[in-house]
Amino acid sequence: MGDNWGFVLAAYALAAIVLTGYWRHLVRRERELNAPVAGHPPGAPPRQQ
Amino acid sequence: MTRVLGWLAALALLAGLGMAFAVAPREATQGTVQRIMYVHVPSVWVAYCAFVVVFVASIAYLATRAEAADRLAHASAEVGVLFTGLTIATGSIWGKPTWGTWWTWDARLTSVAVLFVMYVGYLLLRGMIDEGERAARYAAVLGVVAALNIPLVHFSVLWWRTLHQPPSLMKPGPSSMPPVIVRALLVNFAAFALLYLYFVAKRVRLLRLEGEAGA
Amino acid sequence: MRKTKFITGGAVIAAALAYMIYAGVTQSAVYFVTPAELRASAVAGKAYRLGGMVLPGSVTWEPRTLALHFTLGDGTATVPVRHKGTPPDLFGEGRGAVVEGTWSADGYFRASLILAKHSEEYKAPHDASQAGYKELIRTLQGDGR
Repeated sequence: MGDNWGFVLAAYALAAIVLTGYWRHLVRRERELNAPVAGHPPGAPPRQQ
Repeated sequence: MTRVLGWLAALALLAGLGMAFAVAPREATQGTVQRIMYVHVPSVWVAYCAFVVVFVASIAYLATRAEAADRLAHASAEVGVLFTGLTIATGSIWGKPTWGTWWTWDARLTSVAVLFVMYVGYLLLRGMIDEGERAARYAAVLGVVAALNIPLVHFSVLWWRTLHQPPSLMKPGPSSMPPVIVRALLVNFAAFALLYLYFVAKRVRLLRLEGEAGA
Repeated sequence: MRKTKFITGGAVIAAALAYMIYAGVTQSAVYFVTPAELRASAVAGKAYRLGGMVLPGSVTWEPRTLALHFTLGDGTATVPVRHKGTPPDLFGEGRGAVVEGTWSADGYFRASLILAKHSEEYKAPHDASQAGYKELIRTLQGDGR
């Protein structure tokens, strides 16, 4: 019954990366939409991922 | 309001980490690796909830044609896909040291993979149709149909022989875990649920802004 | 451009779904056979996935040659299993296991992959109560409540 800390850390690190990644994606998109600057026309295709 | 939700979620996630690593004991059979459960199980519960929200919002859209219902379904599906993906990935990381494999096609893993792919398809369908009203209508139908998968995933471990073990908590009769593990799971579920609400609130607002910016 | 990308995506999704449903119907419905079922219709050289209880006292492991021998049982029949390699952490006597391999004409199961199946029981370290043999068999066969 090994402890396998590596697997535990991998799982939690992955969760942290995925969740903060999605959060940052939302924040960035919101900033783009709230302050449309030149070169970022409002009709620009939504950036995925 | 959304900001408060975000802070609440962050605090709850910290509390969840504390429960998972400091309060919950090292499990007797599996050892430390069992702590992956505190991400894996709350993720899938939140994913189930997210897809039930898609189901209800889709019916509401078909009945009322309210754009708000459509936006809620869209946002909830996206966040649900995120949590389903997290469930599959953490389950895989848990499976390797305990079962001895990252993946196997048993009924539970197969049904959850189908669930994931169906909602990815739901999001693709929305992107594929340019005409907003038609996209919303088709998506709503798919949002209702795809929900049939949820009970299939949950009961797969009872209906078929699987490598995945049956539920410990979401079942009739006493739970098969000590109360401290149940508490740690519930705290983490609450944290993930708050995070879900925060994400959906933000995503719904984005969809509204995108709609106003006009395609 | 955008349209073709989505159509490609849709095709990939459809293919993935079709494959998973195919895999589901052919593999998941009967994910493994029990020792009794294997005994009833064993074909030498044919590939099976066999699931059962690792009988207490049956495991021998030679660390030098990695030869692992044990017996899987389901309460009515038993099957001797031979494997070369290190088993997963949760593999052990009195626990569930699913093995992939072929039935040998010499009367044993030649396993190429050992998977450990655990029950839904989780225990705090001081709580030493063992789930009974019957309970384990029940979770193994997946016919809980």
